[in-house]
Amino acid sequence: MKNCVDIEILKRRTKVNPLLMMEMITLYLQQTPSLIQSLKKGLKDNDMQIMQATAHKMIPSFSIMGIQGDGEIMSKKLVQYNAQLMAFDELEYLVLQLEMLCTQACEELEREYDTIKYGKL
Amino acid sequence: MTSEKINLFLVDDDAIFLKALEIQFSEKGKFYVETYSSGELCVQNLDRRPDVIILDYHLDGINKHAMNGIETLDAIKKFYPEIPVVMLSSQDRIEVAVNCMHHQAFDYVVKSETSFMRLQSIIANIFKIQKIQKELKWYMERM
Repeated sequence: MKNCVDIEILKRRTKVNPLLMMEMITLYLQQTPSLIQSLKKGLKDNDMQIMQATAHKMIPSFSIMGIQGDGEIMSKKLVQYNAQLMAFDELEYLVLQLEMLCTQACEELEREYDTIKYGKL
Repeated sequence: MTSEKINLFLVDDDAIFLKALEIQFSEKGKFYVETYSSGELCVQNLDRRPDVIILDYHLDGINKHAMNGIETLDAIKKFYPEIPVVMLSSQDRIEVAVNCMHHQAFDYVVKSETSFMRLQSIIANIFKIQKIQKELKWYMERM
């Protein structure tokens, strides 16, 4: 599978400061799983307000962390979700795709964290 | 402004965006940055007298019981009307911007790759305007 995280973006953002890079990665790893859970809960409970608010909160993280792919576009689609314009299974698929992308990003960032921690940056 | 540095409050419940913005401002060296993850924490610390506050509009997105950006803005203006507040949001909807301005925000910025540049330029304008107002007051008092 092709990597989705372009670590060069985080390096540029932190001026290759290992402590800042590790801090940013830690924040992403702490925040993202709970946002994904909130997104899935919103979908399960048919609470579109919480689902849209969660998707809204996820938008900046893709460009900040250098996550390639359609994460930002998918999040924006969720924010703009309109039941009359999008079928529920399409919405479910979108949430699943977003979850897969974020899970992959978390796995890659965990590896990057270890690389930085053990001085292989 | 205390000493030579600008005391800046950054308020956002998105920890990643908050940290990214803190890094960018801290790099400049002329800012003393304090970050808060909620409107409540920001209001509790207003006695630290920030020179400028950068405030997220959607502070109650996930936690529905949290103060939202407009409520926080109103609380700031109630206690310290002179502190300039710049609102931030991922939404580029005109009604959000208008709402912020109605509640006495100094300006409104959409979160993007260029938002840091916009914020820097707005903060520079804040101090230009404050300087002009101070000079104007000085002249008015002598007329």
